[in-house]
Amino acid sequence: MFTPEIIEFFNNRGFPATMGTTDNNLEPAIARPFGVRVAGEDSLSVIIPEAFTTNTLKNIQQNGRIALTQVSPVDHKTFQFKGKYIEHHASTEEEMGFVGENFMAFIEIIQKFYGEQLAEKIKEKQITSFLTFTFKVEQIFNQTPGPGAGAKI
Amino acid sequence: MITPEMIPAMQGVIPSSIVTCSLAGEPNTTVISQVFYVDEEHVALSFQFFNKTIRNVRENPNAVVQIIHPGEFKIWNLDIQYKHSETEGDIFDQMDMQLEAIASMTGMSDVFKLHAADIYEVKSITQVI
Repeated sequence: MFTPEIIEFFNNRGFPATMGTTDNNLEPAIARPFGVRVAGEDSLSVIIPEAFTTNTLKNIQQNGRIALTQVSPVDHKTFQFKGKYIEHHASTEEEMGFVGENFMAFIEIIQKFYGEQLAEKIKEKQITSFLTFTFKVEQIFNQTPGPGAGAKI
Repeated sequence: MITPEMIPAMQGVIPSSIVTCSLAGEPNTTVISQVFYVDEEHVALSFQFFNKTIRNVRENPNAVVQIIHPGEFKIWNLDIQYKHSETEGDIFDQMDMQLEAIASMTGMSDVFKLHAADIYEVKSITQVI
């Protein structure tokens, strides 16, 4: 399912991502992950601050479909992954370590593109409780702006 | 509903994200370069490519867009509903100019082209952090 290019893409740290779900009334919800990584040959694990997940938790019980987009701020390379919810749990210590590593890489990106002041503001945000969601990826799309955007991989 | 504090989050400094949903219940998420302030209860999004987002909102008008304040890193989710598209007029012209500036800053001048300004009603706003 995951090409070498996509596995390499997920080896990067600090890239922003967005996860989308929807309820049975077709009202979508958005959540901002603090870490995404390959969980198996066709699954991703997505770590999200628990405070961001109220609607996500409701939606995965009702509908279960998940869309996740991750972007490289360096070259705008963007992929969208669509699939079905498998499970979620309170993030483990090891997963929290991954979040910390990813967060520091994100801060470096913010410093580079937006400056020290915004990076300091982000560091002030105290988030300690996370949930890890796993979903089976069924479709992958190239979403890099330009010709070929939207093409299925 | 949209307060002055949120306006800097709509100037395209930090890209926003949108989630839409098809009639079949399949969510779709993408990054958008522009969330344009129209008035306290409306925003406009740039229609640059005929993509899944555009198809979805024309069959299911519900969407949620996340904006980020570039100075404070405050994050808001705007629950919005697609109303109509404009291909000329003040909003279209202002968005076109702003999009050109964003494209120039991000090296995307050859890629970004505004086809329409899609007007959405803001139903509710939640501050995330």
